[in-house]
Amino acid sequence: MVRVGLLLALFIGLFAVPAARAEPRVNTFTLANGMQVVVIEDHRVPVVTHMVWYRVGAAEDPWGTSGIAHFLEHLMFKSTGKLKSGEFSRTITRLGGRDNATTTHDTTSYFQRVAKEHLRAVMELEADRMLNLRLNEEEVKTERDVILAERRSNVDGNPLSLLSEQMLSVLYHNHPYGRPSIGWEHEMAKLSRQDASTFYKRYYAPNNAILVVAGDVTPEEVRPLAQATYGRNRPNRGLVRPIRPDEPKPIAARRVELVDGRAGTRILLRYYLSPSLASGPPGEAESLELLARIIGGDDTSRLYRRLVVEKLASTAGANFSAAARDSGRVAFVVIPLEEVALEKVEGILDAVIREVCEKGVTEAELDRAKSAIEAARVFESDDQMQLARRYGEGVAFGQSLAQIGEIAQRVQSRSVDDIKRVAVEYLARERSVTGSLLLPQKAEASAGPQAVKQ
Amino acid sequence: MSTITARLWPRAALCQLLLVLAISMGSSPVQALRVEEIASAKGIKAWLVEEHSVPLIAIRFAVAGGASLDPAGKEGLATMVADMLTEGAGDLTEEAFKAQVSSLGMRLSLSAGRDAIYGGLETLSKRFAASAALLRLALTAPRFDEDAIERVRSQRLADLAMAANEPNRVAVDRWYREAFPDTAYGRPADGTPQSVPRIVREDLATQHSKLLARSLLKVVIVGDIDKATAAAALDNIFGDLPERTQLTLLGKVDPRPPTAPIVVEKDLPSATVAFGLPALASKDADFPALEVLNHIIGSGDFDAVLTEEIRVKRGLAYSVQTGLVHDSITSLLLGAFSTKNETMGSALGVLKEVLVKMAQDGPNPSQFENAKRYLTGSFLLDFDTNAKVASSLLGIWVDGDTPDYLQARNQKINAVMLADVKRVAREVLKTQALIVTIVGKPQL
Repeated sequence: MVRVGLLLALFIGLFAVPAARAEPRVNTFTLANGMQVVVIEDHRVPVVTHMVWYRVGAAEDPWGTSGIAHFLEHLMFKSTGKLKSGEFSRTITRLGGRDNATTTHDTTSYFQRVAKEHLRAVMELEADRMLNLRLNEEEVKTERDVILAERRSNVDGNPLSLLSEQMLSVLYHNHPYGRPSIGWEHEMAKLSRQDASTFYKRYYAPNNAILVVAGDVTPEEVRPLAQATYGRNRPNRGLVRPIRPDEPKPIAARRVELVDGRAGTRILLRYYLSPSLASGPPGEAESLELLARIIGGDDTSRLYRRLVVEKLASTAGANFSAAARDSGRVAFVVIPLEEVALEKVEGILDAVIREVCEKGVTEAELDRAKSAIEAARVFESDDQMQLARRYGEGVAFGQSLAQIGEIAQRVQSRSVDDIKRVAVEYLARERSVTGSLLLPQKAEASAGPQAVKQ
Repeated sequence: MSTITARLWPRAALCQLLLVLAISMGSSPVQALRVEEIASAKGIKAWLVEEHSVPLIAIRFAVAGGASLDPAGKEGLATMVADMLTEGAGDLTEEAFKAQVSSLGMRLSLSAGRDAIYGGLETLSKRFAASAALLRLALTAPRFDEDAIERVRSQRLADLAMAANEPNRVAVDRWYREAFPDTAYGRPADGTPQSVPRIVREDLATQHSKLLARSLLKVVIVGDIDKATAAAALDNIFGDLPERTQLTLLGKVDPRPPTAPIVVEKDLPSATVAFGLPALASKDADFPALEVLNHIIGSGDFDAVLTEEIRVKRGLAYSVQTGLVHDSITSLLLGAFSTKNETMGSALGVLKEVLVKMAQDGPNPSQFENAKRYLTGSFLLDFDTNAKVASSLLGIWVDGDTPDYLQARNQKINAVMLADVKRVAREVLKTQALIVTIVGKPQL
């Protein structure tokens, strides 16, 4: 992101599968140059959310230049033939709008929120920087300091983020999801204007982009505007996306240990490699979402009852990360109370997982999880930004509008057998990385990260 | 814990929201939003927005007082009271209560801010009656079971241990302690590792009986609900709370004069600073001018002077922002940023230069016009979800305004003249009054 912290998708926030009668009205069409357009109607207030999603992210960072997709996202706010550096956001601000951008491993997205009468102006600006960005050495150097500062404050300054980064690099043997989307610091420090420019020319084109407009508009209003702005951009006929390597079959459980005096408490983290919403067969991600909820989704979950209620931990939870093209993961976190050994809470985590794999879950647990997910989906539908993200991301991952809309029903049709099956299949030891965040021995407390062992 | 974590806007965040409340040119888009002031049979007042397009209902409420009423030595009491409300109530044990919350898929949130208890509920409209019944139970009949108290206490202590390593929180907590050394307002709302162990069941039960008084309550209801149902829900949820409190609300407090920058030494790759000045109350006739000024200096947008000077020109920080904190107790202009330890001294120098120059010359006409345009144009952006509408309206009400504010706000901002902003800049931006707290190993 250009302005807000790069969120490490750990455990915060509910996941975005789910179900309700409040599905929005969504339409799509494609411009002659190959740019897909999605329009989501929400006529409550005369506001629109405008997003452009590029089907390129940190997973496309060429080897040795990790962080370039994210760096380019920052540089997209510099000058074009028409706009001076910084003028893009200034113009949005002057229209009373807000804007920002996000880079993940799979996508780079830019959004603006404005009163509906400014939609055309915003589309002209975004269409302009799709092809006409101009980068100068001086600005590139200063902005590189900004991304390095972003990394320092969001990753290096946060022991849990560091541990997670180390674990992901071990979870993925072969797939670029193992590299941090913000980049490794030593490579970020060498990113050049040329790196950014090459990446930009290769991937930023209408036929590699999706436009999402959510809000007080109709497809009939959006179509002529899209044709008059984005429609004039020439496609990149030679666009080839590099093939992403598959993961080999995992055969060994792995462990990562980080000792960091800045951590306030010890933390146990565990990741299991799983399919994502886009990569698995239909229903698989929905089952995994329900599974994660039942094991550690809220205060009624098995982990919470066994660890927090029993006063062994202050926090215990699970989360399923579904929003990725090639792979997802199930994550568990436990923060033990001060006097409790990490090994002890890990033993209980293992026991809870084993029970689910052996005996499955109850109908009552499954019903509760479905009900909660149904409500969460409606809460999400209350929010233009979240709706626009749901559809933009889904389409970027190659899903149809129908597939995205059907998630709700698929969640409701899962059975206890489905849940048990995905537990056995994906919560297998050899698919996991276990991470421990440890405090140094008392005598040497307060230092930064001291050792990372694998 | 995810079902009991509705996004609530604590005071500071409300202020951030309010900063960008403004109405766009000419046509007043807030007319789409009809706020009705309603009252229940028992006389409980609320603001209601009927909005039937999404099948959900959001409630936000505030009860004045909050952590500022924690007795000395028992800091964190109001926070623990708020935590305990969702840990079993009436006949429902902790487990049974949470199972119902979970089955309903409702979001229920209760927390203590420095000057109020904040509550929030979001639920599907078809599940409203059952959800409201749980909120009623939580507010009026919490069990305060010993077992749950001990667990919540250990969770609180663990959170405090973590927070002690979050530079932002340490810097801001320390800032409040420096600015308000002898008042409850200067003490951390979450308590301290020393105070939390001292809180016993009787403290919680007693404070609960005093904190939640109807006379201090403000409620906003937004969503798929009609007026009669809303009015009935008010009595049902809040009707059995005591009418008045025996506690005396904290009066106005001003930050004390500053000392040299306070450094909390920690071995970190970067240093984090919190800085702040006394500012104007939201009732002050010059407050709209202060909002314009704050936007120009520290909105965090690329237009902002601090972003330009600290981030864009020098690459010293990723983000630098200021905000206006104004509640019933005090009014502040607060800001924060992080930079390398080696560059903290020069970054602070830049900050002071910006403030001095702004106090001397004021903004230039284009900065001034752009800020007004943003503040008026972005108004609607905080009114696009039921939950945001409820939060924004509650903030307006807590500030002592009426629903008319929605219409009046654009006029107030538009009426601000450049000379007003210059005057306010001279009055507020006094670098000699700047209180600065830094976490890290800064070179100053």
